[in-house]
Amino acid sequence: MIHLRSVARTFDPQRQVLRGVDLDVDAGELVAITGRSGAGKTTLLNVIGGLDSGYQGSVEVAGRRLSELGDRQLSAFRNRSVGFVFQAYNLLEQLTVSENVALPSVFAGGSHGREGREEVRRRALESLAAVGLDGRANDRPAVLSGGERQRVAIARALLQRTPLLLCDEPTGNLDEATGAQIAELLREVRERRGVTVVVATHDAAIRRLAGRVLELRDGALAEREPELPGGGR
Amino acid sequence: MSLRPSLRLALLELRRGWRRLAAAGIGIALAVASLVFLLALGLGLRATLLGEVLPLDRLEVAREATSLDLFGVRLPLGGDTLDSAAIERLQQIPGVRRVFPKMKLTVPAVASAGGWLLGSALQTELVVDGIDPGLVADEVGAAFQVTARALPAACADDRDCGDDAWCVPAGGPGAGSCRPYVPALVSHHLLELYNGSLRRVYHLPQLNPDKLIGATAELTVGASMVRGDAWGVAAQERVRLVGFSDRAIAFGLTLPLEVVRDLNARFSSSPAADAFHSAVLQLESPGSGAAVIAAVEELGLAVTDRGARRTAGLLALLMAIAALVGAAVLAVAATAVAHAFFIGVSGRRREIAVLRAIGATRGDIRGSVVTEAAAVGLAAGVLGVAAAAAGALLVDRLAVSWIADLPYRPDSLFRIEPWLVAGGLAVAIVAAVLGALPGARRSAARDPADTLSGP
Repeated sequence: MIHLRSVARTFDPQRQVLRGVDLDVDAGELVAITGRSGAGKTTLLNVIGGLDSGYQGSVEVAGRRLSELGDRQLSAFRNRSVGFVFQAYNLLEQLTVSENVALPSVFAGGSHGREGREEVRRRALESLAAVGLDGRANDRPAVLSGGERQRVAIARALLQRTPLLLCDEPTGNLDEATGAQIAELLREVRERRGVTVVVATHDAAIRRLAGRVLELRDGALAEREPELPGGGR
Repeated sequence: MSLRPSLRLALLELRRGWRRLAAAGIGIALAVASLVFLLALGLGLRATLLGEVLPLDRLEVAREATSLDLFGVRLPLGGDTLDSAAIERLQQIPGVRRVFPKMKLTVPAVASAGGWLLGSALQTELVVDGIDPGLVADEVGAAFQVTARALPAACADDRDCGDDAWCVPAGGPGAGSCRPYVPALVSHHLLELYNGSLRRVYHLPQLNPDKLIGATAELTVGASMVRGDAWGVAAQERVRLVGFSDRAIAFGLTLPLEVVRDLNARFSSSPAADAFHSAVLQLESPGSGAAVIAAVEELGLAVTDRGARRTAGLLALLMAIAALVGAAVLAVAATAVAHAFFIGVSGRRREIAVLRAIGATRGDIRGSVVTEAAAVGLAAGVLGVAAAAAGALLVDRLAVSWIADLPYRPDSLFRIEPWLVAGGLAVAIVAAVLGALPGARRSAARDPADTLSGP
């Protein structure tokens, strides 16, 4: 699903965030990427998700070599191949929950782009049901708790049935119990839908559920032993 | 950029930020309102001045006779009339739709009227002009046409002749026979002169123009109050007022051309019946005026109403100044829009980055901002045009009392043409879109990864 070779990302001569990163992630894997703050986890996710194209090296995701894609193709790639979940949820406050979830359909070209409003709403409700929020479809994000907002963000990422989910500190703003629920939700999504999930996280709950844990240190990835369900290694 | 995402994003933003966007659009609405108002006023004044006071869609042409000034007397050298051939040549000029020859009555005439209204009849010597009825058909219809109809062979008084004829009284030529009334026009100037000055001098009542239509007057052709040696033979006609027209002679009586032609042939000579003193050229459009004037001058003739051209030039200058003022106000308004969109786009950095992350292209983002601006511009344009129309209506209502006594009182001082409405809307949209372009470019150019990093 993901193949990175010698990927480097430099923001200025004094700050090289990624240094020759190699990464292979198979379809259906749940991979956790850890590392201290500023280590480059978000940058790595941005590179994989086609949001950052200022890197050197080779990035191939879902069969597409990203360096060969222009803005329009990259946008289509993000819409159809990648779902993003952010630490800050990034929901549009003026839209209802279901409208937020349906938002990616606005940018879906081809047959997806021409589907009717009812069909889009049906899919949005289906996504919300998958995260247990089908009863809150008409609420505004402002009345939801942090955990519920993050569930909405995950539902939005699932709408287009993308094969890859990139989550950047999805539990970073949540308490431990809620974070555990989100972690469990990501595991369910992976298992039920066969989605590949890559999570940048400090959260032990997610690390415990991950098939692989990679640590980003000094710009390079190193394999870590997955944590055991009880909390030990 | 595809239209659908841009449109949907724009609708979302319009729904959310309509207050901010409305504030940005107010400036454009005011600018469009002032622009449309001033241009409509310019067009209205031009239509009134050039269409009624100094018509530029019609040019009056005459032959300028050379003359010799001798001890205060100007002696003509050569003729100053137009013959049928000259009229035909004028008709051939490109840009001329129709030629209406005009002829002056070349014998004196005295009119007598008003006895029934004023107690005693007023008498005055009049200048009489003959014009083609087609020239005033749009104002008085067929009432100015001379129509041949069968009249009773003999009569004792007017009642025997019906509504359209009168009975020639005993003692003159044709006594006891019916003669048709000659339709006549007078100008608003003449009525103004009477109501404004003459009635005060002679202590007479003011006249209501609407009630004067249908009034009759005796016209004695060949008689004079000025020259004692007038023509020995006089003809008696009775004229009936059929309307007021600014195309009628300013101070005199205007009759159908063929009536004047017959009188000239009868009292002067046959050549006099073919000698036109001027001709009115109806142009295909006011824009062809310059070319037609040049062609007229090539024929050795002259356009007599140069004031129209000067007025047209002055109005064009005033309208250009109005357009410049409007454009300057629009530019300021567009700057305000630019500021509003720049601020708005900056405030939506994270949101735009999220939209990019879920599949929006740079073009979608740019297009949504431009679409928002176009919608703001359209709304501002509609508001501006409506405000201009309302302002025009208000000024028209106020003007009714200000200009009640003017002879040229148009129905409206303004002319809001469809192209002006469309232009107002287009200008508003263009100004808003141009104002929003820097913000649109900035929002599309920003790298979403920069914004999405961090909480």
